[in-house]
Amino acid sequence: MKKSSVIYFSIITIFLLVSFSEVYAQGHPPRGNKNVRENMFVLRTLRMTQALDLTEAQTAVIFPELNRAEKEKAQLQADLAREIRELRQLINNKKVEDREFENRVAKIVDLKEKIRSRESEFEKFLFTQLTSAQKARYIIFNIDFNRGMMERMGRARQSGKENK
Amino acid sequence: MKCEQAQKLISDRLDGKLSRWRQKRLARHLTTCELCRDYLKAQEIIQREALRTEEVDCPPEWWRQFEQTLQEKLIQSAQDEEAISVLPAGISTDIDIKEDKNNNKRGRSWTFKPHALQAASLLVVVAATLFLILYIGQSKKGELPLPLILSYEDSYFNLSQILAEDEEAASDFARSLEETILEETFLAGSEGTFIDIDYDFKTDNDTIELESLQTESINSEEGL
Repeated sequence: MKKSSVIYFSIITIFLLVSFSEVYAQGHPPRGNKNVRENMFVLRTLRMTQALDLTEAQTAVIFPELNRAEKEKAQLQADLAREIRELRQLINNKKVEDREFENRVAKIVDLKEKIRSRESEFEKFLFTQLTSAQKARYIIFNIDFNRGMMERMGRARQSGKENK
Repeated sequence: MKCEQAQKLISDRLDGKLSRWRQKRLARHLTTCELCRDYLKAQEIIQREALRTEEVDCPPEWWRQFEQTLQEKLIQSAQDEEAISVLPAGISTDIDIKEDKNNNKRGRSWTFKPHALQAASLLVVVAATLFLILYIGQSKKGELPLPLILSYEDSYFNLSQILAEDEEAASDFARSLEETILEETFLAGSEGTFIDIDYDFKTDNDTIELESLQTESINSEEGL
């Protein structure tokens, strides 16, 4: 089997597994930010494979760990989003005690730290698998991808405003 | 008063330029400092001898020769000091701003005393330290540290917080991502091996018509 077909087959399999597991688990199609998270992950994996020019051997080692990290981080991000949503509601409530705020803030700080730590852990692992040139490419790829996503989001919001 | 200041005042007193107030200060210092009293005596002797000396009428050529010799000696002396002085504390720097010797114009030389140089060095070090502290403090406040700039998760978090407030934009964004995934997968497939997989995933609203997708070239600079 050719290298490219293995890589793309792996990416699509990841995508389908993530998508359908969510669908069956919840009994309804994924919406909003869940879709965003999954699609960003798939696109990022695809782009990363291309940008770093990963070999078949590298993808075989990196992808399982990438998938594990993604699942954990997605869960943590979901928890963080929920905490922040609840914090927004709490702020508007005048009867909330300081201790409640302290607990919420501590949870948010903890979640952010866990996300950062998990991301860092994966990147450390990734860097053990990459060549020097690939590491350098990864740095640039990451910046470009993040910036690109923000720009894309800006366009999506702009088109939404124009349609209203 | 320090001896150095007192000796300067002694020199001014001999020139008749000392104010009353300074004269008093000098007198007070002289009562307690034997070294300066000796200095004063020596200076008075020199002045007396100098006043006794008759004026010598030297030709201009002699003066030019004298100045040239003096300049050469000063330069030689400065070079010697430069070669000897290694430690900053002992440096006595001559800044020679003499003009072209061939034009026989006058040259001047300023000597920075070691303690002045030390004070200046200290001032520079203090200023540099303050600048660094302030600069680092500001950059910590104003700029994002590198891991945060690079962090995909932080970037995603910001993005998701914005999209959480705009469901329609979130949906459009997710759909645009799906479209790009399809496009790029097909682009990659056309270059290499065709990916034989049932790729009929649903979006929020409808099934993407693959035929209707326009395959655009990947904008690598954008990262998308």
